[in-house]
Amino acid sequence: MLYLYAILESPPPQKTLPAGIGGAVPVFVETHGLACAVSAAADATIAPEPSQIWRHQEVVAALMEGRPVLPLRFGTVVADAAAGLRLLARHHAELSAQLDRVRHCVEFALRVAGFAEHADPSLDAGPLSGTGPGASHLRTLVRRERGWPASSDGFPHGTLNAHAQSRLLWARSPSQPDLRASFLVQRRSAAAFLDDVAALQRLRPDLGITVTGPWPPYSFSDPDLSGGPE
Amino acid sequence: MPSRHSGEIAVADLLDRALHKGLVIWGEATISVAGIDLVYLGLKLLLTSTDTMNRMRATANAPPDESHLQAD
Repeated sequence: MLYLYAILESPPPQKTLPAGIGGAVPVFVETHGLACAVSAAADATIAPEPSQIWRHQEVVAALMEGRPVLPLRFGTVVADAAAGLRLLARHHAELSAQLDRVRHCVEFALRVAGFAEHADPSLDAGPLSGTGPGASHLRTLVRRERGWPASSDGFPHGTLNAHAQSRLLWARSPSQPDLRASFLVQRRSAAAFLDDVAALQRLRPDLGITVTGPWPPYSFSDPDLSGGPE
Repeated sequence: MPSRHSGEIAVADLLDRALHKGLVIWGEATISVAGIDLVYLGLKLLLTSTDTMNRMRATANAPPDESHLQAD
């Protein structure tokens, strides 16, 4: 089995990479102008332990220095190098386009604790009241947008959006009550973005506002593969 | 506001992203976590919350007759 870390453009960097999952040394498989960082996986199942996830992250972070990367979701494996090459070949057009979208960008994670959520019973009635997975998904999307405060004098986060190429809102849940958002920010705008987060915290000291990053663009790496497998 | 250690938040943010985001590829790739193989046979399974991961881990430890996997 091969464990997959991230996809990047060829040629991949020549530098020594951090040890990967299980201490294995990452190497690359390459085709169609793309490279995928992989390492041998002794076990077909990967335990989602923080230490392993940090290893995944450290490899991806080393790869993103100076080049765009698409981090794969933790735990992704293929049978062998030939299978990895087939994946790159099959999806090279979409993957290359997605690499262009995240070029020069990093992800920042913003959390806002203490911002009351307003229940919206209207979501449980009307056209979104269905019980199917489609209606449920749409309710989730609407709740994310409505749960995120509109930019205003009291919470002027509009400037954060201005710095971002893209934004993703995370759904709240009983176990995840904080407002959470991912921002895809150009590296050159990162300092300004962080300055505005600090200004937001000064304006609203009652809220617990935290930002972590820069992260690889985990939240912005999935291209539209709606065409399905070939 | 109760404060959390910044390292704890960084770990949480990484777990959010690495486990629930990141590139998912169709076809022969498998997401193999906690003993459960999610084989992509033309279906794109999205794991969108830590609740899902908690359910996965609970499922992995459940007796066979209670096994099920639910993705948001």
